[in-house]
Amino acid sequence: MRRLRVFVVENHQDSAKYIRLYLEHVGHEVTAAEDMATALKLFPGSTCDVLISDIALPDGDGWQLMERIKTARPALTISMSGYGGAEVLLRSRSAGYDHHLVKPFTPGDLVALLEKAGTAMENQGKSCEQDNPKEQRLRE
Amino acid sequence: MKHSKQKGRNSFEETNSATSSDCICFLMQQIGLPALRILPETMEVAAFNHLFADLIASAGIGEYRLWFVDGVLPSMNKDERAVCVAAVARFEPASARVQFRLRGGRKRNFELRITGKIPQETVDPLTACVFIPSPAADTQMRDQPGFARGRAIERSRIRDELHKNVSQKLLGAAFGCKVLAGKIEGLDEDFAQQASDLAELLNTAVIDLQNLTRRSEDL
Repeated sequence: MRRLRVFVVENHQDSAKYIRLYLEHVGHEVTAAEDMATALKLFPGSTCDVLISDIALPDGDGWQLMERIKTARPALTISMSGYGGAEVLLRSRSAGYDHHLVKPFTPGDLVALLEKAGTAMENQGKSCEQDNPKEQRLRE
Repeated sequence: MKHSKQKGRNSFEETNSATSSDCICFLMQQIGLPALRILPETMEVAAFNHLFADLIASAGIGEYRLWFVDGVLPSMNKDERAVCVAAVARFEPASARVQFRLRGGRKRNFELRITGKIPQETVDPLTACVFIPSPAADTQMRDQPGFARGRAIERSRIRDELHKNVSQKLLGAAFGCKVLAGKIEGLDEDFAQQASDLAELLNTAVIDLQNLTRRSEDL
C-alpha cells in the first residue's frame, strides 16, 4: 500500500489513539489534532494527502473545519460521525468531503478508503457517499 | 361477607406454601398469568400465585384473605362486579374487566376469567380466578400521548448513547486490537491467533452495531 500522509482530527482520545496507531502500523504517516483550533494550527504545515475528521468537535464541527481549509484541502477527505442519516451525509457532501464513515467502522473500512486515495488524488470528480460496509468487508 | 379461617391456611407464609401446592395457581404462574383460588361462599382467598401477589401489592391490603373482596372486586365496574359476584356464588363461570394500579402509579388492564365448579375437586370447593392481560387496553395505553412522548425520549436517549458513547469505545477497541494482533504476529503464534480472533470478534461487533445504529436512524 502506498504510504500516505494522513491528518486525523478526533477528540475522543481512545479512538484517536488507536486510529493513529493502526494507520502507522499499516505504514502511513499520521498527524493528529483533538479539536478544530489545533487542526487549523497544524494543518497548513502537514501537507497531508488525506484528511479524516470527526464531525462533532469540542470547538466546532468537521463541516466548519472543511470550510476553513477549503483552499488547501487534500486529495482525499473523509468525515466520520456516529450519525449516518441523510441530513448528515448531505451536509458532509455540501461541505466538500469525499466520503463519510459512520462510527463505529472497522479498520478494513478505513483501509479500503485509503487504498482509494491514490486513485482519488488523480480523480477530479468526487462524490460523498455513505460507504457500503458489506462492499468494504469483501475487500478486507 | 363473613371471613372464616381454614385449618393450615391462616398466615401469609402458610398460604404461600399452600400456593406452591395449588396446582392451578402454580400452572398459571408457570405460563405467566396471575391467579388465585377463592372460596365461592365467602370469596376469601385460599391460594394465590406470586404474580397475583405482586399485582395486588400496590393496593396495600394486609390480610391476604381479603385480596379478592377488597382488592379485586373494587377494581371492576359496578355492573360487572354484580354479575361476577352472582356467578361465583352459583359456581358458574364469569369474566370481567379489571384495572390494577401498579407500583409507580401505572395502570394495567386485565380480563378476569373465573371458573365454574371444577368437577375433580371434592374437598374445599374452590373457584379459580385468572387474570389475562388485556392487549386492547395495553394498545390504548401505548397510543396515549404521554406514553408516545416517553417512548420517543427513551429512544432518543438510547440512540445518542449508541452514537456518542458505545460506538466510540468500540471503534477504539477494534482498531487497538487490530494493532495488537499485528504487533504480536511474529512473536508468538498462539497469542497472534488469539489476538486475531479477538480482532475479528470486535469487527463483528462493529458491524452488528453499524446495523443497529443504522436501524435506529429510522426510529
